[in-house]
Amino acid sequence: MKALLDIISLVSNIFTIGASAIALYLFIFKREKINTAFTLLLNYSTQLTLSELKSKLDRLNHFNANDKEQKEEVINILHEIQGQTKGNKFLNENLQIIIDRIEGFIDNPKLLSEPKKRSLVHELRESIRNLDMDSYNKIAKK
Amino acid sequence: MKIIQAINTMIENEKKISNVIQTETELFFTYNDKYKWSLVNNDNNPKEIFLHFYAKDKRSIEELSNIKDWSSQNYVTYKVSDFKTQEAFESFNELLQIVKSKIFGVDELLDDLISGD
Repeated sequence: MKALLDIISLVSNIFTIGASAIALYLFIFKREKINTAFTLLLNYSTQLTLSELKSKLDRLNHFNANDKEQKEEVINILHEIQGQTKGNKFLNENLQIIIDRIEGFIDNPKLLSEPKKRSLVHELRESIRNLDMDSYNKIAKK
Repeated sequence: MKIIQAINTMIENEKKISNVIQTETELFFTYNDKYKWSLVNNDNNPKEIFLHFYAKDKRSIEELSNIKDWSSQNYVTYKVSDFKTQEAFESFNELLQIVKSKIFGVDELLDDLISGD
């Protein structure tokens, strides 16, 4: 009985050593690859958010902020944009300034006119385009 | 990129658009008494509008509107086709309509008409 337990114990130790060796190997030699895979995953989620933001910009173009009822819809979409951006750390940091401006309009819809909306849409579109290039460059460099 | 913001700022403050001069091909105008521009649009291509900026040009808008040979002149040109977005086109177009309405003081005439003088 004891011999059996000893054998099982030995086999289990061998497997444990093997598993630790694999973990060490991966950590030492494959760390870059694991890092890249993880970064790609995070980037993918950011990319998804960016493309959703782009479609919100197109919806913003549909509504005229000079019209009272349509302005409500514009403010709703701005709210969506604010929420979605706040949920992503990378975007939140990089779009801080323009999000502050959006929040200003959400709090004070009277300040929003159609020309101001167009400026906002254009600026947001350019910022998103720059962020897109940034994340692409980061992946490409790796 | 700032040009779209600039155009929308001029639209928002259209009272500062003045000295509108129409030539055969272009509409010259001044904004805030210091910025000189001209607009060109082509009936053959309604989606394209050119906006020329005579930055730092010391000549008056009248002198600029009389220039026939542009080959040695300095100016910056912005066009809708540089951007290809809906908001860009609407911005250029609204500016064009506003400037058009100010030719020959048409704007003031219409104001009179509306107020029933």
